[in-house]
Amino acid sequence: MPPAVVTLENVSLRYGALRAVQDVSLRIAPGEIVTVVGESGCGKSSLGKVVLGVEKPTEGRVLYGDQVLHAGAWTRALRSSVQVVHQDSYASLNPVRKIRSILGDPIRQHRLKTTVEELLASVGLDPPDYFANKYPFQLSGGQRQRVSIARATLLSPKLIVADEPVSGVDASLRLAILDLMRRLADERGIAFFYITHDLATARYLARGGRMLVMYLGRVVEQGPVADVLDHPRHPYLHALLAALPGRERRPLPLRSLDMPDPRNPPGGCAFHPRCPRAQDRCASESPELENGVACWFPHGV
Amino acid sequence: MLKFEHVSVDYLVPEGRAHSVEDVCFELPAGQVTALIGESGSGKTTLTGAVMGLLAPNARILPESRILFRDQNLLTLTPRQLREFRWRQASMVFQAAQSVFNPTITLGEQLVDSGLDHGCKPARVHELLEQVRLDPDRILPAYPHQLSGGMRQRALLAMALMLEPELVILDEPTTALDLITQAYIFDIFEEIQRSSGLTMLLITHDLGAVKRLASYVGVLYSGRLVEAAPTEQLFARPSHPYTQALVGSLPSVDGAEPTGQRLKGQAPGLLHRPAGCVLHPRCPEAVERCSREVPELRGGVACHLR
Amino acid sequence: MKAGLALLVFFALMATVGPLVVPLDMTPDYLQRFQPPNVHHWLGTDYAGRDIWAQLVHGSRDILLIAFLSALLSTLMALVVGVTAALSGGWRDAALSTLIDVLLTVPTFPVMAILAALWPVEGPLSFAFVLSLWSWPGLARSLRAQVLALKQREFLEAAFLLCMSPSHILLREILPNLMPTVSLNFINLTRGAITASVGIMLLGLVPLQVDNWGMMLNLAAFQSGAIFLPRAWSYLLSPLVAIVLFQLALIAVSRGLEERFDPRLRA
Repeated sequence: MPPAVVTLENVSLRYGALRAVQDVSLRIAPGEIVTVVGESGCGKSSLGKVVLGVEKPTEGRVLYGDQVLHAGAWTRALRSSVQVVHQDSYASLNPVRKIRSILGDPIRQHRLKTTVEELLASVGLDPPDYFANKYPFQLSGGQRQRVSIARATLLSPKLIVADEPVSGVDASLRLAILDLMRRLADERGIAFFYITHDLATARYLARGGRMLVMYLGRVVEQGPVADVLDHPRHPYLHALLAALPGRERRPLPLRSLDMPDPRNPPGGCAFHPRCPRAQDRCASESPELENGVACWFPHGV
Repeated sequence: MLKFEHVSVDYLVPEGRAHSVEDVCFELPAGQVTALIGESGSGKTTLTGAVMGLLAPNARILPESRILFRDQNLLTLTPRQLREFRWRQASMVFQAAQSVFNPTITLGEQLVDSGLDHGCKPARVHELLEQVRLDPDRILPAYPHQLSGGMRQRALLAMALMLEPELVILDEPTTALDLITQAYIFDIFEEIQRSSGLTMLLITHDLGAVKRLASYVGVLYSGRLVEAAPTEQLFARPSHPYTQALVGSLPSVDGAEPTGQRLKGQAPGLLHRPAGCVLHPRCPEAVERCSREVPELRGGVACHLR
Repeated sequence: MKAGLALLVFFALMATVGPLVVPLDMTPDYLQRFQPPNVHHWLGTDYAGRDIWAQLVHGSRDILLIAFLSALLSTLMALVVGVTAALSGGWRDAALSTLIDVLLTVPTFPVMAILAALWPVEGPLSFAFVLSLWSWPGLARSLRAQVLALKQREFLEAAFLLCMSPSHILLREILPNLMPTVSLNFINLTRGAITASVGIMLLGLVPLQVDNWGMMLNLAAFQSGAIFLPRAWSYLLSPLVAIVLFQLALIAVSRGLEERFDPRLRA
């Protein structure tokens, strides 16, 4: 087994009373695409911030390669080995600077051999010279997202955390952006941590990779993407899939439609008040992630 | 019920006239959900603005445009008639952003008071809230920030229904909502539409929402209506090259490969609409004629090659 | 922008080169009192028959210099304190914010007056220093708030992950986004400094070296009775118009700066 790019060991992250991430362990191999899915407030973006190293876990530890992060080893090489592509392509590019200086400044500071034009061409922005002289607000969402991806690849990172990179992009252009990310993974061996609420794009980008499903801060199911989506085992994932347009199953296999307050999650298994399969045990004991599912009574057993 | 006839809207900008919507002809049958789908810059927001009289001050509606509601041209209404139309006959459900409600007063005040102002009794407000599956006793004393996005969206729908409109415009009603929330909001929309025979116009960029709710769809690209067809037909056999690319661009949860042709490049900006068919610079099938002649909508599709 | 800049250049020339070109003769000549503008006296004469244009030119030097220096000093202090507070966070932020709040609650003008009385004000620089010492907290607070908001913006996270140097982050990422606020507030500070300096001079808390616009206006309005003389309109209006024009020029330039710094406004 090749050494992991990033390893999370029993990581938890708390913001005051809010347990954003609870006891997540994860290993991302070089070039691997891991996708994490779940609804808003499930902790997937917080988990992304831990992987990025911009949030320090309250418990557990994060290793980059074999180095522990946040143990005084916050070196330049370590920090730059993981990069980010944000959802809001507008907020992630400095609005008062041209693309040329957004990409050119890091090239100069780190004395890289590449040029702004080369970079722009590598993400399909053609003619590069035209785009280099634009301000972010003069580009479309898809074009801005390509600039963000170009910036993320500047320092030849080992991993890129992409948090909903296509949800602000027009549907007809999404696929091309996902293809670009896929190409970077295949050709340059960059691993991706793809955070999304969209199961279909998750499957598309991470084909052959792994999927984590999160609910209220915990990973409730994980495994190879095709297995997880074709043979869902956790009742929550069943409900999610039944909610997809075109896959109608009514009523939804849920006892309550509203998500509980994440600041005050239910005891035992956090899903039990909404779960149609819940029994007494679910209210008192929280199931561990075993064989890819955290449920006392999973489907398919 | 609602009929767009040769609707064209320009915006006056420092650089000149930006053509936002050009020569759109489209009809909404009564008692059904009809969708207008389009991506950013397609003109869908401008079209709704024209219906509701909510266009920006720099918008110019070209003279041959007509929007008929029960044979009355909405574009020639006086401001007073327009207000009457907005209250009595049509209402709008916006994206469920937090900003739609006043954050400093309770929903009870906002819903009940605005209802009373227009002659809707509190009992009716309660009834409507129950119809959208909200508990009035819990909702009315709450402030907007205490509700989830899905609850706010349902409250907005209840508010839109208070004056018993004939036409409800849903503007991106499920954007920014989670899957499960989306699913039951679709259910509620459908239930209410069926039980009251409302006419609904759904404006969205979300193909999933269209598939789920609408029976008839118009596809907008760069200010023009490029295809109009029953929903099932549109998804099963898209005809226009743009619709084919759009429908085919959806990855599937089943893992089926997206089949559609990919379009090159980006949609043109409002100021630089190409001559001829607006799609031709990106269209994989374009022939010489496409760059010269604007194709008319014939048999539900505006393409020289169909 | 261009008109404003031209005006500013004009005032700058007036304050620097002007006194060398236009001789100032302060000997009273009561036969020439309250002359309306004419060929010999472009803007007429004052209550003692002295040329107003010459006074205006000579009065401009100190007041413009003081106002400009004071605004510059306040802005620098505000930038240092506001940005430091927002970026360092924790107890430093708490301490600096408290300091800002405390300073904001104390009325500015009396403090300036007391400072001016205690401090040996000897030239424009020390006067500007006295004026700016208490006028920066407002700007500091709004800059702190802006930097805190910027810290949430994702382009800073990206810059951090790209290991950009602190000076890059400060000068190329943060500062340009603050410029609209800074340039607008610079105008307000300049304006405040003009008012405050006139006030303090009136109270006699600093030695009056030359006439300045504020003094001229005060003399015209209250001391010499020109306000009751229709003939003396030019005496009354000249300093007033000079002050208004100067501030308009500042506003025009600040607008231009804002557009310069925010490309979105240019489109």
